[in-house]
Amino acid sequence: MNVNFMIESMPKLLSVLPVTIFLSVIGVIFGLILAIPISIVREKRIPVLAQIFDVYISLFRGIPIIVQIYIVYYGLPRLLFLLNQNNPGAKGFTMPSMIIGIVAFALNASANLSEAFRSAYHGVDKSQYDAAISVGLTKSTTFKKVVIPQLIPNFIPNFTNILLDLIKDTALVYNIGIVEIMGQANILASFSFNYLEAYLDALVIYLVVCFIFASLLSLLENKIKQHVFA
Amino acid sequence: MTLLKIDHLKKSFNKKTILEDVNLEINKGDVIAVIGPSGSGKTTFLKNINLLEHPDSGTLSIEDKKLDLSHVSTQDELWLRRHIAMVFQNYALFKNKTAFENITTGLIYGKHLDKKEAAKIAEEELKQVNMLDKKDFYPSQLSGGQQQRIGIARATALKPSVILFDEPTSALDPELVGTVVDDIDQLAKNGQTMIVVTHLISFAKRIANKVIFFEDGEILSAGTPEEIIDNPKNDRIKKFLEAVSRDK
Ligand SMILES: Nc1ncnc2c1ncn2[C@@H]1O[C@H](COP(=O)(O)OP(=O)(O)OP(=O)(O)O)[C@@H](O)[C@H]1O
Ligand SMILES: [Mg+2]
Repeated sequence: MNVNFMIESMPKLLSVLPVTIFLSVIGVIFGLILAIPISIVREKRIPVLAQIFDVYISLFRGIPIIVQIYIVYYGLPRLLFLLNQNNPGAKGFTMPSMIIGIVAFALNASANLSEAFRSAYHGVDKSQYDAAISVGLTKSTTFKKVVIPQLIPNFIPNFTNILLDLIKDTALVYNIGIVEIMGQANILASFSFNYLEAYLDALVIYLVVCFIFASLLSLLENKIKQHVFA
Repeated sequence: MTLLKIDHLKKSFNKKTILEDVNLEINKGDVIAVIGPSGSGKTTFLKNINLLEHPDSGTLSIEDKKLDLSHVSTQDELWLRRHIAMVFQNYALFKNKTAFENITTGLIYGKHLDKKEAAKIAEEELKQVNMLDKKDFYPSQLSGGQQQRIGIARATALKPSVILFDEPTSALDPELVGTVVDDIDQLAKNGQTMIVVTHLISFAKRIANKVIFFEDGEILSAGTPEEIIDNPKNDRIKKFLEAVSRDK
């Protein structure tokens, strides 16, 4: 095994670590923004929309993420082109891979996050809601003061899993031309055929990054639990 | 003097009738004990009175206001809950709030009192139930009996006309039942109007001036504790009382 190669490659891999982190963190943030209204619509069973989102979620949860990435990669520019056809100046769309990656990750995360919201919400005992209503709170105050504060600590463990999955799934986006850890490892290895060494470097980075995120979020969870439930 | 009057209250879930034309008239200071077999609709009855569940039909009169229960405006709902408070079987203290905050939450966000006023009331109420030293404890740090006393304080702090109790002692360990029963008894002696669903027949006799027996979503029989508990005329009630005393 070429240890020297491993040592030399490490900084080069670390130089694209921000891409990996950016993609997963921005993906999860947009995912959250989408997941909140999706969860509300599904929980309230708003006709038509709720059914559409049900399908949306089972689709995203049932399809390998690499397929989702390819579909967004080939489908999104086409879709934007179609939507823009009335515009006389419209040309074919080319999109930066990074945008494609973020869209794919945000869509994927939104499906998983809204399931996570759902189970966190159902983890709050209905009697907590009843009690708040019975002391005269409106529905919205009940959510703000009682339901949501209790839902958040329920939500964090699942959120952590989803974020870690996203970080690991970024290893797939080199397929659409984004150079992150995995892409970089492939490039470095291909010059010298030191594949094992390059992937071992990547392994170490993924492990450390996931460990750090998991630790931070579990710290946060404990902090919130302490604050919320003493 | 009639304080609360419920007429022709009906409720069904998925076409299954749970409450069938329930009528009840309560005077100020009345303590009504509700007894009856499991599944007869006692909890549903209470929840339909303060609109935690929505009746299909019926009317409710309280404080010279008459509500058509089939469609109550949000405003009337909030109004109603300022007059009718509830104590839950599983305490249902807000898990994310201290004992003190459990009491102030309704005062501040429900009754819109300012924080100072709410704090003053909460301290008084905590003193009433001997829990002032536990004011900063979270529910998870309190025993069942202590939680239920906070639950009672949370309800009384609202100074409601009527308090609904849904089996307030049935989740408690036997040795903890006593203090909670004493607290409720004290409230009754202070003239608080209340409806108490309970399986404890001796408790019902001790506090109530009127007992109603529920079966299949109907009031099968109503009367004084002497009439209903000591000298039941109805075979169903006799059987029920026998079964309950056998459990002991
Ligand atoms: N939300 C609901 N949806 C459907 N059915 C319900 C609902 N709530 C209660 N029921 C049904 O209504 C009936 C009465 O229930 P309820 O809880 O009022 O009985 P209860 O007299 O309080 O019984 P227990 O003594 O066991 O507490 C039961 O058959 C129950 O299954
Ligand atoms: Mg019940």
